[in-house]
Amino acid sequence: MKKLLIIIVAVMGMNVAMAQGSIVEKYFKELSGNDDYTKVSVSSKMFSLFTELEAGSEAEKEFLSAVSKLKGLKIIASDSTPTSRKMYDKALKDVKAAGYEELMSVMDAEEDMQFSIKEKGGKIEELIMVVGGREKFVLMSLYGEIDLKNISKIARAMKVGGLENLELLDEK
Amino acid sequence: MESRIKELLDKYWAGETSLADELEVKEYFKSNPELSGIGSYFHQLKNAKLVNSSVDYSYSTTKKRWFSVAAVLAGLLTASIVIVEANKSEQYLVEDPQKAFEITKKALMMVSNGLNESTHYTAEIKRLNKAEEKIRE
Repeated sequence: MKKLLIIIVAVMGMNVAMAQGSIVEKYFKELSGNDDYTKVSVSSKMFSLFTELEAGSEAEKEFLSAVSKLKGLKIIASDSTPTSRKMYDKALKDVKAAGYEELMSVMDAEEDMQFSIKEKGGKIEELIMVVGGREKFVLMSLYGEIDLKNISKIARAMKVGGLENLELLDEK
Repeated sequence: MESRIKELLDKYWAGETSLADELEVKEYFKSNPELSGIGSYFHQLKNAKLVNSSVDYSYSTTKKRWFSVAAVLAGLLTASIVIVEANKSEQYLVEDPQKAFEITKKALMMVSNGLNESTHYTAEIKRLNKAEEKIRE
């Protein structure tokens, strides 16, 4: 009986740990055999490696500060999927059903984009970005501690001094 | 013979007989079941023992065995699910720091651009845009 309890608690713990980024996880599973889609996951361990870099420009500073608070990044993307439109609508529906709050959406002639968030205690702990274009589909989940102002500054600062200089040198 | 059996019987009831003695008593009554009530007692004992032992054996031990088999299976199933799930999330994990860095950079730039772009769009413009799209169609 005790063992059973321990197993149940362990399994529940795993579920909680996997809850973040789980919507992308679901798409990973669904499209696991489909080579049209690129699937990528970056762990917090990697992020901690990046923070050892030295920032020069303003954009780099913002970038590293944003990265330092992240716990994970999961992306599923394609540039050549004929069902991008369908995927986009489906992803939006799934994101909404999973309890994410719509933050903002952008629609232009080329592509549509929607940001959704999950908040906890006034802090954003997950940001979902869904993009749907002609043959383009992107579903991205950023999780950890997310500062939107911080992230939006990266692109603005880019116009002054790019991120190009910030390259990961010899990793060893 | 009779006295020997009587002697053995006394020992039997006292629980002092050896297995060989018991066998002798049982054999005696088996060949002469009509002799006494005790004879039929031994007959019944023999039958009852057979039935009881076979049922008891198969019931308790096989049930226990099934429990342990089920427990092991459940354990394996849980373990395999956990491993498969873990593998699924690990499957696309980028191991190369250089690659991971490029991906993170691109991803954050994309999000950042998107966030900036959306701030340019007021609800008004969005509506106009939609209308424009409809006209184009």
